[in-house]
Amino acid sequence: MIKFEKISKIYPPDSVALKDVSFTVEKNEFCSVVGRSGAGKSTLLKMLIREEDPTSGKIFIDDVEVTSLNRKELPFLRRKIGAVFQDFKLLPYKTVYENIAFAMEVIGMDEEFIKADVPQVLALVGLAKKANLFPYQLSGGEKQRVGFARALVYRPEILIADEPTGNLDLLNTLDVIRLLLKINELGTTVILATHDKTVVDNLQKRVVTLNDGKVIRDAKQGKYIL
Amino acid sequence: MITALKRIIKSGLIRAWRNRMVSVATVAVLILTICVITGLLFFNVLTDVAVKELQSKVDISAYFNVETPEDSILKVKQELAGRNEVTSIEYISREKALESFKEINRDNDVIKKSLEQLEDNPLEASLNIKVVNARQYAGIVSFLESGPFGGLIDKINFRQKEGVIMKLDNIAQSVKKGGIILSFILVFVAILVTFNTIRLTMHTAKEEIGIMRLVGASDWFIRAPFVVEGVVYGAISAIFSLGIIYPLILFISPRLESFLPGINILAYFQSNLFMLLAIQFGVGIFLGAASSLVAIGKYLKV
Ligand SMILES: Nc1ncnc2c1ncn2[C@@H]1O[C@H](COP(=O)(O)OP(=O)(O)OP(=O)(O)O)[C@@H](O)[C@H]1O
Ligand SMILES: [Mg+2]
Repeated sequence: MIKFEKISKIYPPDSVALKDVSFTVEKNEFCSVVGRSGAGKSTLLKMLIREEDPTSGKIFIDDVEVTSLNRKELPFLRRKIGAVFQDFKLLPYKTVYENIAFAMEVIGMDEEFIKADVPQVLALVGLAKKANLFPYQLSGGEKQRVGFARALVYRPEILIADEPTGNLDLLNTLDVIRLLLKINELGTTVILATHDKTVVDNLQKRVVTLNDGKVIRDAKQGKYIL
Repeated sequence: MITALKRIIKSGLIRAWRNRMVSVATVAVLILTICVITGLLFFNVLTDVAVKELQSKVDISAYFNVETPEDSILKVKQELAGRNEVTSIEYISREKALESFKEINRDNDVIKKSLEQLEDNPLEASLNIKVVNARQYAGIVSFLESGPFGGLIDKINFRQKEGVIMKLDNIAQSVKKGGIILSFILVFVAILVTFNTIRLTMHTAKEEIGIMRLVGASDWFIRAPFVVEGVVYGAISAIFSLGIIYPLILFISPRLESFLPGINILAYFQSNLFMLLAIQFGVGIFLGAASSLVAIGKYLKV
């Protein structure tokens, strides 16, 4: 269970990103967060892994108060959460394979698992042939899929995906949606931030709509409405 | 734990290999630092040897009254030999003194003739004394003059030599002090330059470290490969430094020896090879590792 409690965020000096946002995502739920560009979707997701800290309010995952964890505890929080970043965040001096392997090495997985799983997950996102390329040798959509593969590979309890289809064509987008649903079915809580109407309308899942940093709608089996 | 260690070493080696173009600067600066430190080491050893060499050329002689029996002189000699600072004492009997005096003035007829006219040997017996450090002569002199043997001694040629001895001692002291201060300054500058070079080459690491943190890597798991990378640079630099220093010594050593006899840096190098290697590798690896550690420390904030 993930709980946002009266979250406000003001980027210094005075850029207001979120105002008093509260909602709860149940375990195994699939929740989309939608809204215009600049509505605060990324900011909200970043707070879950403490990439940003809220100006006020609290976030809980199960009984853990995420917002009060110290530096030393952060790696453990982040290992529970798979994150697809809007700006990919791939390690520039590691190959595609190494980027994904790194996420598994971090949690101390054995080499044999890594050797078996990385090619599998790469095949899943259609990048089997690109394993030995560096990020700068990839297209935007390919980078996005590497980021997606990295977030999946260690089977996190929670997956946060920030605009994972932003650079993809329709076919790839539908693939990613199918994958997200599948992962969710297998027991992962998914929070998806997007402003892609096709994605949201296809999902038929809960939709939280942000506008100007505030929650203006929260609908089960929602549609993308602004 | 062992897998983590393997991973860290492997990823550090990969980093070093992929950054090989950028790290040319790092290695160059490290080589320079190692060479400077080794050079200073040699300089200090050299001045030490040179000063010792010079000091060994200085001695004093105590002349005994003509009527002093040999026994008493030998007793004084024995007494002096018991003192720590004394490195050598030579007893020159009256006969020996006369002999060498004759020898020296072999071609001087006037002296020859006048010596022949003398019935008795006019020369005094003496003790020729050398000490470790020129400053210690004063102590020896006062021991001889005011000790129980004071009455036996006619004169000590210390007073004439005192100026030279003191000057020599001063020079030795300032060379040593200067050498040490210079060493410290140069080493400090070299270390500073190394740190900065490595810091600059690590500039790109900021983004990487942020990403690593966000996918859940712990601090040491992030840091360690960078340190391994630094160690690799340090070791490589040490090897290169050896490749520069050894031929240089082969070249310099005979030339230096020809004008500073008794100084053989090649022999010094060879007999201290392991210590020097340890210092070079130690400096290289320590600097490489420490600079990496410091350089990335400030990026570990996310
Ligand atoms: N680092 C920052 N410093 C200052 N202001 C920021 C920063 N990051 C975001 N903002 C501001 O916060 C607001 C919300 O940004 P956020 O990235 O959360 O929007 P978003 O909903 O993800 O938009 P998009 O759909 O374009 O990704 C924006 O107005 C933005 O200008
Ligand atoms: Mg965003």
